[in-house]
Amino acid sequence: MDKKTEDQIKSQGRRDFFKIGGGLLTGSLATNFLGAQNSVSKDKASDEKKIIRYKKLGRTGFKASDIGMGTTRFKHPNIARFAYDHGINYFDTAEGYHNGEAEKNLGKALKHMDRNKVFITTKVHIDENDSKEKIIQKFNACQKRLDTEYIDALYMHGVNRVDFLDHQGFHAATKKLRQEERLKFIGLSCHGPHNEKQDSMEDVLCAAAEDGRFDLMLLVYNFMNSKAGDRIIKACKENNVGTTAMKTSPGVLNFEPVDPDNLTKSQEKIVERLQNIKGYSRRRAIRSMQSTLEDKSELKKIKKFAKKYELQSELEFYKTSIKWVISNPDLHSACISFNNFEQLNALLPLSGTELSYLEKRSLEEYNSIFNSEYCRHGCQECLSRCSNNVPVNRIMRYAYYFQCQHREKDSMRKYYKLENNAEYCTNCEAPCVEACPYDLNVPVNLLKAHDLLSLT
Amino acid sequence: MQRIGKTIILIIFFITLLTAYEFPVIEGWQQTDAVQIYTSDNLWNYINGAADGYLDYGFVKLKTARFKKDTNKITIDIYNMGNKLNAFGIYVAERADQYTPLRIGAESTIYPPSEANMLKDRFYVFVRCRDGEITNEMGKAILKKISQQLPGDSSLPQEFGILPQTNRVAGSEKYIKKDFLSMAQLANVILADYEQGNMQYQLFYFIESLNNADKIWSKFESKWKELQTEKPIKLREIPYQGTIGVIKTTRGVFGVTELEKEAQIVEILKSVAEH
Repeated sequence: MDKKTEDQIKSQGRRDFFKIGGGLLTGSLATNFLGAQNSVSKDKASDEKKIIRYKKLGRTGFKASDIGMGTTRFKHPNIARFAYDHGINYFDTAEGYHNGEAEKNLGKALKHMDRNKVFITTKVHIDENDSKEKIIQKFNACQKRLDTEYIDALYMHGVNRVDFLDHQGFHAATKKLRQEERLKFIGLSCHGPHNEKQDSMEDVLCAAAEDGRFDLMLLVYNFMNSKAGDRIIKACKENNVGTTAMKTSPGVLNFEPVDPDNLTKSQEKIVERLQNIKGYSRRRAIRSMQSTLEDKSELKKIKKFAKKYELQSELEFYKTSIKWVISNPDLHSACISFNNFEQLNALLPLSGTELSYLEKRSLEEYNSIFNSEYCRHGCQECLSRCSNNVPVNRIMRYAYYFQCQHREKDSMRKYYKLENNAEYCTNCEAPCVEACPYDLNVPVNLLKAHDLLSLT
Repeated sequence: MQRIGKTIILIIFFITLLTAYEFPVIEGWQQTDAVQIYTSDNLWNYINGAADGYLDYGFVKLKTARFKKDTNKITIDIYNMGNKLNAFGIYVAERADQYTPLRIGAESTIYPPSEANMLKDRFYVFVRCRDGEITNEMGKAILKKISQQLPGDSSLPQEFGILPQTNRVAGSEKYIKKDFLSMAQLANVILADYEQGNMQYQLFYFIESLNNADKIWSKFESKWKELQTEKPIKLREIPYQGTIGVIKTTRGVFGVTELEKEAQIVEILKSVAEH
């Protein structure tokens, strides 16, 4: 890919990237990453980009492409056909993605594929009391939208409790569907708990792996959020369960320098805002932005890091984080939500690649520098230690919106509405200080966030 | 700085007060749980990966509540999408291909026995049956109640006025925020189907091009073929889709797709420019 295209990719879709600034990283993960500017390349080099590595998907025996296709933003069948023609044979969808439209689009694309050579997973939400009949009804609707004789795997979508693994309706329904040869395998997806009453991703998926009835699972896995994933993958390997990953990158570096003559899209927005709100001249607004951005100590760290590893763009780092996932031999396919041809062209060459020594070191170093500043998505470990019920994860996310997505008003408004904000931390003895399993200094980060998000 | 900040917060507070609404009461139905509220940072907790689509369309807030009546149990989701066009975009994206539009709200559709959808102003309403069934009559009654209690008007987004009325297929209008035809360049487009004699095609228009045509036009550089015509026209081959064409006019940038011959594309684009 030429430099221009990379710049174009880099300049768009920044809301999907992690950015670091002001000492805060949050747990909103970037699976759907590259807003690409240009479109499909028709040159020879692009046509040669193909998937080159396939891994056996546990006991299903199917050999899945190491890069799979997620469909959360899937709008047109041509992107799935393009993926298939370039070797992607694992497609992950769900009844809920655009209220079934993703399944329909995949169904249209399936007409142009050899059905036996692709693996289709779909997911349905299961309510606690759903009967066998109700679940069969949901499956029928999925099958109709996908317009296929059989579905390879049906998942319970977003399971957060271990007791759901025994869901009678689901097992009775899937047993019948398998007997009818309309379904081959079953599995589940899990993102982690949303509240303290729910079980961790590790507990749910390890229990599912050992349960023996589930053939596949979809888990959150990236180089900064790997402890639980590693244990799950190990349990899956021992039980010959197929594993697919989502949220495969914790984010990408943002070390864009401020070039006054060539501002990026996000920098332009800041400058416009400063001109409008403060009445600055353009030159003054750029100077003000430059001093603010380059004052951040974390940005300095990032710059140093980028210079050391000669990283020219966020995309390079993003690719490295994807490579980390797909080079794990026991993780079978990384589900990436491709929305356009350029995204596909950018990532296809990663298939079959391994991390170089330098790339491994860069991830390790990144981890060691920023580990204690990265608040993991779905992690609730510190909440029980706070006597004031301060929602740590949420506050960190608001700070991320403020700093990295430039949603100052929105994030301040959200923070303002919180019942228990980080003001409590000012005079608190901070029992949370050692509660983070990743050594994140919770009170310090909360106070930083409070300064940022409040008007005090 | 502090004063500006406080003013902003005050403005936000009053805007919030003015735009706040109570969750609709549905006569004859009993609300079984408290209203749950989701924002852009946690919508994902409620609908998992499906949240991506809503966020793409500018999602602001979701209020959801559960109701029951006899053996029927339903969930009502009211998505505030920020403006009419965004709400229209998500409503159409979630609406089934085959549908019978009802004049409740700006438009609504009912799919017995499982769901009903409605568009009104900046709101997209999704009624889902958890137990029992939603009949046509039941769906209409519920949607009417919701429509009466939601703020805003019941007109469709005015942006579609720029697309020619002649030969337009009624109800085919769509708003695509990102990646139209899986092309990142084709963003923020409104479109509709057209039938003209034996020709069937889709016209699209870049809504940001009304005052920004040059900027939008400048995106179409490499891999686009420029034609020597009175008004600028460019063509591009898209995988599995055929050729699409775009034209820059005084009213912005229009495009056409689903036509086989280059001559037809040029003819249609020229007629749009003269429209």
